[in-house]
Amino acid sequence: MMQLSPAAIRSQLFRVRFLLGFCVFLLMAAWPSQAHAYAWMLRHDYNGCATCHTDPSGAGLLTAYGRAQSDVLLRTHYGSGSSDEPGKSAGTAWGLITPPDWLLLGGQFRALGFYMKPSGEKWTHQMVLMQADLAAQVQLGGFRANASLGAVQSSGSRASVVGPLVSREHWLGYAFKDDTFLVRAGRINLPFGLRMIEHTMFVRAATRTDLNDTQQHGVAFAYSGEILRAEVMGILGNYQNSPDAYRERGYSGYVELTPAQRVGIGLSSLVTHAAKDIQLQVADTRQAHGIFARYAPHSMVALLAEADLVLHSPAGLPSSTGYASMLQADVEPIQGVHAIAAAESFKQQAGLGQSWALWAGSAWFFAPHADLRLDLMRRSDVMGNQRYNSSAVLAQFHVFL
Amino acid sequence: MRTLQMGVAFVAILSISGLAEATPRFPQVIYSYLYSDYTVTPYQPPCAVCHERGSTGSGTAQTPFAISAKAHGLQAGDNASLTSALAAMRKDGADSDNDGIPDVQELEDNTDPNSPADVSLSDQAGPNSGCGGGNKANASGRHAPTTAAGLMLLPMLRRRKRKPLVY
Repeated sequence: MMQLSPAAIRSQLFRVRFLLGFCVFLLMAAWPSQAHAYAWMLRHDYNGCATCHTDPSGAGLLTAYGRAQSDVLLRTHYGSGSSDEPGKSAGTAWGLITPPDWLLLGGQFRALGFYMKPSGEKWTHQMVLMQADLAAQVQLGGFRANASLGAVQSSGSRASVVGPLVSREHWLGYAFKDDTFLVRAGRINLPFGLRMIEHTMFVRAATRTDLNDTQQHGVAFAYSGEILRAEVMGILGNYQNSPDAYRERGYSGYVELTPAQRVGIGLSSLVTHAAKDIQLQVADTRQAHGIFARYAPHSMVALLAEADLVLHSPAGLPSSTGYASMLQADVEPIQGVHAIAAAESFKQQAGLGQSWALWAGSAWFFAPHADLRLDLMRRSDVMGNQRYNSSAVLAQFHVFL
Repeated sequence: MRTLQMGVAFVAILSISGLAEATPRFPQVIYSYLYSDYTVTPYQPPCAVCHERGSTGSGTAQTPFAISAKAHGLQAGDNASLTSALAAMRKDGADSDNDGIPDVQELEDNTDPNSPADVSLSDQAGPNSGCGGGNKANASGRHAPTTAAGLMLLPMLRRRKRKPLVY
């Protein structure tokens, strides 16, 4: 019987530990992240989101079909030209993992280099881990069980499970009528407005409906039809934050009509009440009501627009009525290469100045499951009685499995 | 194999958080600034004066007061920049919540410069995060490394001499 020397045993253990760690890393990066939402897919005649995403309102874990389309339609194909069939690398972890039909797997890793210069001040920079999530969905007949688990760089996230570990989404659901209807309960992205990855835009930040960590626990009912899609959610609060006074309760929902190919017009509404608002620190009834639209006049061009009224009724203070708006153009001259321009504005309340921001950027889906993005931004923020101007550069690297 | 190890190391390093954006001594700097200039009841402001929900880490210093302070030259990790930013904000009369009381005055009065309501800054309880709500943001501003994978991989990346197996 062969006996290994201590050195040989250490060497073997090293290899095992390395492979195990690498597998853990692959798993960590394999789950599709929540911020995987491209409303401009309208340009490819995808009016709705449920075909490609487990979340019927978009973003998050991809279905098998969505995974295939991400390879066919999203990324740049070199040399051989485009194909209607996905390549082998379209599969989970570039085809290295083949889950059974009842199981969807994914993961995302997104890193950001953020450079900012307030007017008259020095450049500052940060490296931010935007996303490192794993997610999975079990689907047995109409039954759905969906969950994500990831890590962030901060403590005290709204999505924290413990310390820096976060679970942005976890829900149980049931789909019926060929997935036309989906009812779910759990921690869910709030259905409101355009679902986009630019979670810091005013329309997302002012309404607290971004994909980062503003998900809430509740019950949601979604309809995904040919020309109409809608979702409404009863918000029970974020039970990953306490005490209960900080939990918002109310509803959020949208309805979108696609009267013609590549045109979508929608309405959104949200009302919540918290005994203690996270920023105001007093009881507050918060409302947001708005309109959004998507239009792709050509397969190369997609236009997105949203405008929302934002209202607060804090206890002991005057009510405020403000608004947030955005307009974005996405041009894709070559498949996988995007030029993006956006303008947005925000006015917190009457009597205050208007904040605004201009974005100019580009994104390149250069390889299967990977993309780069670079944005230049010029901002003018009104903060109380002051106005602050700044410039920023954002560089992102994104990988999903 | 070495290229793979380097690639994994690169990504693991990327995935491990760097220095927290929260600078642990900033509350003390604010305290020193207030107490040295005025006769005020000394207290150390909570992390929540700059960090949303008191959550520290990169990208979390986004309260109105923090944005104003950064616009006046505050830089993470630079205590002197905080002192000069507070002085500049006092000079400008910066009032981030537009309640008519300048931010630095609110700090002296121990009221929240992020809210127009007359609420105590130091007496704010919560929010707490995590299941069971037991986790408060670390008051020191430190935070745990981000990924378990990174933790697992780090010790594996120590260079080892390859020795032949001996049977």
